[in-house]
Amino acid sequence: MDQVKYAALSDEVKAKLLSEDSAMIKSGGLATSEYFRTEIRENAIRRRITPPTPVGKEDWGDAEDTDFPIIYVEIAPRSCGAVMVPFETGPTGEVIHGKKARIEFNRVMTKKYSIEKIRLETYKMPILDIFYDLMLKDIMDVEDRVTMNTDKKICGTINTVRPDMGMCRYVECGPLSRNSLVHLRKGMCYSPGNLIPTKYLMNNITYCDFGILDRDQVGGDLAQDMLIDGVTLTKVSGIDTIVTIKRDLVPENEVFIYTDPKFYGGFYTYKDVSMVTEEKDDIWLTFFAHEIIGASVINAAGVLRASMTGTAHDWITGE
Amino acid sequence: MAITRKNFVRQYEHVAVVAHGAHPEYRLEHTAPIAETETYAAQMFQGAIVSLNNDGEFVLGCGAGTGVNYPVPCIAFKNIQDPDVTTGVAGKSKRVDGGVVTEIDDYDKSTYSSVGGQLTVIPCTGSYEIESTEFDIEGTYKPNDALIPSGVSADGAGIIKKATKQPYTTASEPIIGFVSRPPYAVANGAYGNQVRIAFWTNFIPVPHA
Repeated sequence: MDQVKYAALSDEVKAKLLSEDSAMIKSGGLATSEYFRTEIRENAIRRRITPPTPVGKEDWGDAEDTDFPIIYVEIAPRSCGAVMVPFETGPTGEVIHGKKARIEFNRVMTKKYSIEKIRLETYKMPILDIFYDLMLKDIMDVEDRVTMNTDKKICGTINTVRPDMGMCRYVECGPLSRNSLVHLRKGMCYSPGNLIPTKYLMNNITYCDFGILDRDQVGGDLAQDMLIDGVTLTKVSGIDTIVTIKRDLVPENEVFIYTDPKFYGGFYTYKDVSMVTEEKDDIWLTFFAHEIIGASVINAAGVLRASMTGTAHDWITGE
Repeated sequence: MAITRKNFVRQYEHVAVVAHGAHPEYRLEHTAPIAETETYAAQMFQGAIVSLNNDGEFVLGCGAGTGVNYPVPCIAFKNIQDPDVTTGVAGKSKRVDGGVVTEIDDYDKSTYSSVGGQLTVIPCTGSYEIESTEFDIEGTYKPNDALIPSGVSADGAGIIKKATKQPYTTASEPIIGFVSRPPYAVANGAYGNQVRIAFWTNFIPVPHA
């Protein structure tokens, strides 16, 4: 197989792996054959929270001090309010300032793998396709890790008021129950800007715990269904719920609450993931993957964190 | 009188170049975060000396170390203000309460970036001829002069200067290399007019008890 064919193969596989088609993601879009797997990997959860916005060279911002890639985004201004005044008086002055933010970009890159081509022929499984899949997952894991770290930094210490927002960004809501779910739902409503929650993010263990809610807590036959069929909720309290197996990023009993991306932040991709394959001397095959991304939280009020443990603490006072 | 920007730094004003050594794909290099506690991180320009602290994060300059711990001098290959290193904005605002004004972090003026925060360096344990603009221009240099950083975690610590003591004697800073070409002007080069010093990297730690 020559280099052109390898490249074509990688493009085809990449397109399938990046597809939002759930069946395709599950299987990796790869040809099936008799081989076993020892782990399940997951695509990026960040891309489900803030869907990627592709940028091109026409989007790069001009900066005098650097030639590294950046873009600028604009933030809607606020008005200064109005007052009641007596007759025969005029308005006081104010000026308008639009707001802008700079989004910086970085590259995410896998290791560069190499193999002597003859060794490939000893495998019946599509080992290259499998590796492409794993490299994509590795890149998406980085996307998730760095963005979740930012969210955790914003949310700060549990039950502690963040002075600039006048509220806690991370509280205990108490163990999973009807009461704690209502408390969870309220958090974003207290946020500056009157934001509304649109997504919950939790891990698969926390999600399983919904099965303990019985008939007098969830009502109807849902308790029975969750016991027999398992938890199949896609919404909790009317909020779309994302469930992840990445428990190292989203700890057990923790829920991250996001508002609509337009009120939170952006995830930008330049050309998305590129697969680079090289064949040398008809002996060696090397390949790696990389992408260029920007990920910024423009409005830190757009994310909250809750622990479904302890006793419920007030979102405003932390007490 | 016209008012001009005085503290404005362009990316190409601080430069380090591998004159001889491996291509970036194959060269010895290291990437790590910058220590949040480093007061003088703003001086981490390309070509300056940095070193890892005990947490594996970069501080400006390089010290002697203690016991059997010998900080390795490294040459920064990124500028601190590069937009893939320093990202986001930490906004501040002032508040007044009973006539007392305090300054606090302000989310409304901040942008939180998930990328950046890391510096790429070339450790002086590698075999290179490096050209750098970040050296003490007050000094006089001859080929083969030993070079050291100007300290560690201090104002100006990342600047390369001529050693004042012989290798393997008690000193405060390790040897980072030896001058291959004394300071010379690069006129109208790729980066405009500059003065650089060139040296072969060679790490000689400071002996200590």
